[in-house]
Amino acid sequence: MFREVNQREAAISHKDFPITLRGRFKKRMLRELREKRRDRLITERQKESLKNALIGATSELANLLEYAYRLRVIADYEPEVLTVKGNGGCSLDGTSLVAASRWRDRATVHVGKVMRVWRELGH
Amino acid sequence: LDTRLIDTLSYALTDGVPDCKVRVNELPGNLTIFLFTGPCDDNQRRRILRRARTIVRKFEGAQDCKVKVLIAVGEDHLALESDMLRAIGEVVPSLVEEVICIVTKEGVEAWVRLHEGLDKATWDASRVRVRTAIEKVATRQGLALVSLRVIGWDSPGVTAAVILRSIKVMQPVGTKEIGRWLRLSGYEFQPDRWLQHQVDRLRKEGLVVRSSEGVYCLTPAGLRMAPWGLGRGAPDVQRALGVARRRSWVVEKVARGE
Repeated sequence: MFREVNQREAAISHKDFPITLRGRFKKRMLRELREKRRDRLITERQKESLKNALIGATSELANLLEYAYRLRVIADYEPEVLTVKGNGGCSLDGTSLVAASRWRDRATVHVGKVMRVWRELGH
Repeated sequence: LDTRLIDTLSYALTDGVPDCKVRVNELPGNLTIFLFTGPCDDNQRRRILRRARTIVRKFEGAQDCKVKVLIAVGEDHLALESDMLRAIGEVVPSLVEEVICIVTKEGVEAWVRLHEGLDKATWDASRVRVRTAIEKVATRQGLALVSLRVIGWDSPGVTAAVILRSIKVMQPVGTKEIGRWLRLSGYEFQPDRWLQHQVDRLRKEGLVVRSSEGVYCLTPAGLRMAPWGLGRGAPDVQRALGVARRRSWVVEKVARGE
């Protein structure tokens, strides 16, 4: 997704993904939206709907990545935080394994939303 | 979703529709229902669709689930579908789980269901190969492939920017080819009349020009506004690849003396 939107984007570290998503990436997409509106290639209504979809998806994806990264750091570097075995499987810092297994699907949905906006802008 | 709920919904949708067969595709938060009705005219079809929409709206409100109903007139084409699935399996193994075909006057509308856990990037990488495989099977049956869509995914809408891009890739091009290209590239279905109106609007704004043969090209202003990029999917790259492919066909034909 990053590479497709910004071809010159260098490799980003895992920690920087949410920051880039909320910053450079979102700015680039919003600039593209403004340009398309200025050229009258999308209507005001389309612009607003695409903008809302974009802001929602990028922010949700950034939150998800941040949360997953924080949990990964706990799992790798904080041995004092223990995994808890309950009736619904094991959990770490209040997050169950079942919930974590859905992260990929959730991320795919958000990436799909962003790519949809990108494609509707003609890319 | 509970299977009993889906059964009730299917029953409500088929109630009163003559010789109706239902095929349900369920994905998390998303339900696609294909209704294969017996012979019926356009008015009956419209009535069935309107009734289905009312039922679906109520169901969506109660279940927090997105439902899409597609109506096909005539029998379902199981043999054609299994041929297509086999052809896809030979080209891209373990990508597509099921193919559903709706045969209309214009040709075949193909819907594919992907294996669980596959993302958009995987589909995008293999979409062209899948399309070619399906097209070959459809052509053998004397049918044209009208559209190719993935069950459970929302297709992106068609904006003026998308139309400019399609013209940039294929110019000089008529509206019918633009529509076909958009449908095969996974965009939302739009009737040719709507596309014609949009292209005319672009022509009035001076972004495209129409030739006496009824085909459209970009003007310098249109070329400046049309999307561009450096990647494999960029319109310029797609055009260059398309032209090169066409040239290789011509060279092969000349070599064969055709």
